[in-house]
Amino acid sequence: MICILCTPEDTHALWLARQLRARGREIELVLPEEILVKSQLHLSVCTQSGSASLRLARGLILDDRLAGLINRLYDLPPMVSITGRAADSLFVAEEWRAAIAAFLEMLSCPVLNHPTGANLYGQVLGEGHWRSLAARVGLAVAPWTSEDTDQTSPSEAQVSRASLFMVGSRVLDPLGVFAGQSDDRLRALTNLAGIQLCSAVFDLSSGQPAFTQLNPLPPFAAGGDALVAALDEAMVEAR
Amino acid sequence: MSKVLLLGIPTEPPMALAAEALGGLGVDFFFWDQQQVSQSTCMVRSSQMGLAGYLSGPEGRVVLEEVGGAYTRLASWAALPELKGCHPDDPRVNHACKTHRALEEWLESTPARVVNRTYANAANNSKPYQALMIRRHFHVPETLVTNDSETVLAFCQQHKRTIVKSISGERSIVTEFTMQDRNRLSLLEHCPIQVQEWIDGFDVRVHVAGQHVFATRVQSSAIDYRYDRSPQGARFSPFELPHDVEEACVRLTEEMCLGLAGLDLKFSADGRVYCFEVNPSPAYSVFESATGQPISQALALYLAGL
Repeated sequence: MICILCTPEDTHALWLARQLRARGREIELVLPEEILVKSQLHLSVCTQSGSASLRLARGLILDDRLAGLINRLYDLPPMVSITGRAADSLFVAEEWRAAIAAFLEMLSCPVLNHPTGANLYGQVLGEGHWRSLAARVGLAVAPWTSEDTDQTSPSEAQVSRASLFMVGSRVLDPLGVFAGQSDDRLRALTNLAGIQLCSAVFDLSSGQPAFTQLNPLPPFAAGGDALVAALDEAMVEAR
Repeated sequence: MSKVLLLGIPTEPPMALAAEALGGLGVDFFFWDQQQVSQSTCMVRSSQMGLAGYLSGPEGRVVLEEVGGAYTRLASWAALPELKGCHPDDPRVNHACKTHRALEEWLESTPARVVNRTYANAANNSKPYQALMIRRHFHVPETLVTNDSETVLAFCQQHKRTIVKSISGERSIVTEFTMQDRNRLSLLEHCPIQVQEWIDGFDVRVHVAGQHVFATRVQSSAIDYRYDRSPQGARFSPFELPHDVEEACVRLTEEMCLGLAGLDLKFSADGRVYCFEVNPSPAYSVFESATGQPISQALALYLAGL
């Protein structure tokens, strides 16, 4: 069984679930609320070994027996402490987030993407940071300044963009505009960031693709059948 | 020698000691006082050529590409006295947010030695997550994280003594699991708990600054020596680490991409060395003041690339 952690509004995750089911895979969608409400979490850590399991109220158990987990857990739902105090609610939220980060990290099945200690769905970096890393691995990058704001940045409609998708070490170019020229550098970038599943967005307005940012929550449908097949294979290969 | 940038509040002891040590070494440094954010500007740009930009404030201006090392202990800017309670639309809030975002982008991206970058600090936000990294080099205590009271009780029965600590970086006071805690286990339905076997032995705090290692033995009767309220309080004395332990401390700190770290070790009665936590923002000044160990000097040398 492959588990997809996502919110009910995550249309990309719902699309992926349909596509993988159509390929005969058993898919379970798990919502953030299910992680918190009447669930049973068990993490055991010691020097040589450890185990992780999460039993949901509906009886589904997430543990090492999963074939894989697609992690689109952007955040956990807001929590209110029984004391009602804002500081206590913040503490409860942080405790849950820290516990779930460790849980996802401990699963031995393929987890795309692994969390960091601070972000549940993987490495989250600023736009300037992504571009610096991209330049370091030799990708052409679009210039960025901290003066750029939502108001001053060109809108999506004004800029011609294209994306590459990464699944494990496979690079997918659904629009066929990159001719494989950025593949190795993108692999180097995702290795550096510890991300296995993402889309990398490039600005095409200057003629040459210039990297702008990397998204660890890729819009799956834009990757098409090739992305679904690559994800399916990534889960099977890892078993 | 390149310039060193200090970011924080000048009177905060770790920052003050770092500034003093840099001055003593004759290193050119710029101290940006975070409390002066309203009178400061930061601009960063990133391109194929790399990063460039500046930070300016009442004390002067620094060109960021000239900076070779940075030590940051920035507080949450929303908690700064000038901004506390301000409406989110207040221009001062907008300016502080923009300035800190630009600084953060630079700190995360610059090839300079940064103590420490936010992404490197992230592991400390989840102690069991961090334990998975620690256990490559040290023993870690048997640990349970759960929201199931039966499992907690079973774990406590397996161990003579059990301690409770937060899972995240919030409210990280370590206490012993007591009868009183048993009576509160029904609260687990709302929030998980982390319990650990108690390890008998003595505490050693290790500070790693670059390749320099300082170990301090801590004598205290408290469960968490940081909160020792006894008349004599916790006592600190320099401690000589076995070579392999010293090496493991440096390797772990490097693996976690930290330039400065505080490692909480316990030398157990059976000869094992446990590591409970790696603190990426250690208040090393407490240990330096108590023992005279030149931690700030090692930090200054690291920042200056010496």
